[in-house]
Amino acid sequence: MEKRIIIAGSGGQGILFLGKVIAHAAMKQNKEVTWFPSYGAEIRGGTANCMVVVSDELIGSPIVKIADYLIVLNQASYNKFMSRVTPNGYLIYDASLIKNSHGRTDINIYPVEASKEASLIANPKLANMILLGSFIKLSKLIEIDKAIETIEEIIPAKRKEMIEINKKLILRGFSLFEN
Amino acid sequence: MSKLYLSGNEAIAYGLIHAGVRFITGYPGTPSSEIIPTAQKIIKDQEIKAYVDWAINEKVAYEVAYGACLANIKSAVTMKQVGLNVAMDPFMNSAYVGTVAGFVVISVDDPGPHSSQTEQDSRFMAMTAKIPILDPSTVEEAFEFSKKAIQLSEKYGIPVMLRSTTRISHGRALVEVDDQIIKQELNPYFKTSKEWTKQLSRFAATPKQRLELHKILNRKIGEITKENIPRLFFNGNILILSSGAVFSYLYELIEEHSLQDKVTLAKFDMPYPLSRDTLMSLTLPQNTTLSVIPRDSMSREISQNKEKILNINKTFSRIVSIEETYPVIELQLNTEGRRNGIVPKEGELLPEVCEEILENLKLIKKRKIFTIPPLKRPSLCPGCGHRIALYEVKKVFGKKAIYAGDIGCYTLALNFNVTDIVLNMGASVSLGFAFSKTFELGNKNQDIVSIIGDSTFFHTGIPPLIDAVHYQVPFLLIILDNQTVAMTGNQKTLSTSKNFLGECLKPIVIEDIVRSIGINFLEVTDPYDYEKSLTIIKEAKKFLKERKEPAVVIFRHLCINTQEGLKSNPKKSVKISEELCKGCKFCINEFECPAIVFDEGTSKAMIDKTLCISCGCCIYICPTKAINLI
Repeated sequence: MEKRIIIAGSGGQGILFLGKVIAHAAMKQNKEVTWFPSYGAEIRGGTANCMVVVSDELIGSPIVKIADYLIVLNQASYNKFMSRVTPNGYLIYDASLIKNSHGRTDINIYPVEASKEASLIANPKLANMILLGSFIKLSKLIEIDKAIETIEEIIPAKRKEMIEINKKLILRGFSLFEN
Repeated sequence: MSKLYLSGNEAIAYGLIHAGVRFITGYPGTPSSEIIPTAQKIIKDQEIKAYVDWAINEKVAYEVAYGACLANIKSAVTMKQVGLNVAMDPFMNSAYVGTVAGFVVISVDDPGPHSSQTEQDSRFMAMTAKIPILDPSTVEEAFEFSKKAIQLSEKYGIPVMLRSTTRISHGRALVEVDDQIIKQELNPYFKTSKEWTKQLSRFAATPKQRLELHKILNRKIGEITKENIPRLFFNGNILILSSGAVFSYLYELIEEHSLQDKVTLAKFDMPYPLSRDTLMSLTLPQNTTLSVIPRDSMSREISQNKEKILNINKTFSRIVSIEETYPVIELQLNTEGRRNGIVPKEGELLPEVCEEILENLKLIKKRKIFTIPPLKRPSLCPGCGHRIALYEVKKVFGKKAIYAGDIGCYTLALNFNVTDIVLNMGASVSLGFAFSKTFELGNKNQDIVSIIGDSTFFHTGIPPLIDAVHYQVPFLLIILDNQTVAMTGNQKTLSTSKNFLGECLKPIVIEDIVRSIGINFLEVTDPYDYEKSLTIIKEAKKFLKERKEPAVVIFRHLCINTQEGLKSNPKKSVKISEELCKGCKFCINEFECPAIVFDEGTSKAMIDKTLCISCGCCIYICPTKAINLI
């Protein structure tokens, strides 16, 4: 089993963080993982993306050419990466920010009102965690418990409040879809 | 042993410390900047006695780290590829003089380039200097090769380069690392050793003795060449030679397109030094009928079977080098590749580009090509002190002034027309000198403003300013002091008073330097103080006109991308009045704050509350006074 994920949006939307949580959670399930960011620190406020590969075997290239899963948080990234989803692959996007206009019929498309849902619980900047929850439910690639565990580990304990909010958002995103 | 989830740069730091390196210096530069902070964390957490910290520039960093190895402490220096240009003098020299303890030069290349001025190849520079290179293909190899580099350096008494690239340095993967770091007694010596007198002809060599050192260097390189054997994968008629990240892509593509019986893939862990003999002595793994070497063995040595020596030209129909970024293997072994157009001459060799190359070799058919729409361009953070500072400078000097920029976040001021030229670190000051002199020669009046950051000023901005004072060349030097190396991820500058262990450092004061070299106009201002800043810039302009000598204005405001900076920043919420906004887009084009967006529906500017940090700077800029405090 080898699954390739692209996560894309603007700088500041928590793109890299979302990828990091997926990678860490997969690691907890004894998978091989690679994580690759799109930019160095010298690009501020531009478009951000990261690529995560989760596999049972050693991974050769961390760069994702064709993705099994695409998670997008802005229109530009939606347009850019749409064609990179493999047939029967998954597209999960923030429907509060993106208009679905491409109409690919050979992939599974899941609009999520992520910014809206996030603003109901905390603030719209945390849409990434809603999408993470939905991704976990739809992909079944990582376990929700492992994602929660990861959040507890990588957010410093002194920001306990943040941990709780993130958990709530992940669970909300998870509950948006049926089994 | 435990498995850690590390970036390539973190893996290098772990590799170095595990190999016994106890002295690391460098200068920050994307994509190399995380090596030193990671090494600092390791030595702090594990209470290891070592010196790990930044230097003022790469040349100094190189000399300091190299000096440590001459005093018998294993050492390393880190930089990005253009940093190596700055360190070229000691780099070339150190190859001749050789090492005492192990010494690794880490230079991280940026093919693409993603965040550099050039996509030059550090391997080429090492070849010029006659320094062997290790070129990791994965994050795991970045860890292994750091240790290997020290071993190689100690075995031959030669500096060894570890060349990484953006993809390796910034990618993350699982790396198996020993839990315990062996603590060792450090035993520095220099001149105190018995053989010292014999060493003097090496450490302080005259030109004549240098010739002897060159011979010794050539001998070392010859020996290393002999033991530099590539590893072979697959079994086909076309031989592809590769190293670094590109090897990983090619490996996957060969599997993906089932080319195992069409291509033999050779991996060079060490792309220099090579000889044509290397190619002639390539041996296939024991079972020559095998088509695929299991992936698990990728990182292991393949048994070296020397029984079956192949005549390369007969066995392989073509030999092609596919490597990032310049033709290093290709030129040494005289193969096909960049020179005959099989491999693109510029740009990063991403998997899709490698596929194109396989297409050029007629190994696969034409595929669907992805088109990428333009990305959003980068811009300064909302609330950044540089933005308002440079807006103020533009306000006084206007669009006709020549703005010579430099390397730092503030390069992005070109988005709102306050930077006309950027060359390399420190060049803003030299260009200010150059333009001022040339316009003077042509009897033309021209306002010239040079813009440099605090860290870049320390790095290489000081010598050209001394020249400007000495020759009395009038231009305004703006020093943007945010007390951090912001662009590369907020490393500390020389203005810091504590190191990472909490030990006291002597902060270097920019004003003291500027005054001491004889600058007669020096003012310091916080750019958030709009009126005061404007007055100072106007005074500076007047000074330049009257006195015909350089002037310096320091804008000091903490980087708002640091916790400290954000905490101490004033909170002034703003709103844009829909009635007063005429939709002229002046704020969008001439100030370019990401938090001010243009609503195409209403044709008015509005504040994006999710991005705005309430710095309140934009209230000064609107021509119709539509932006106001709440």
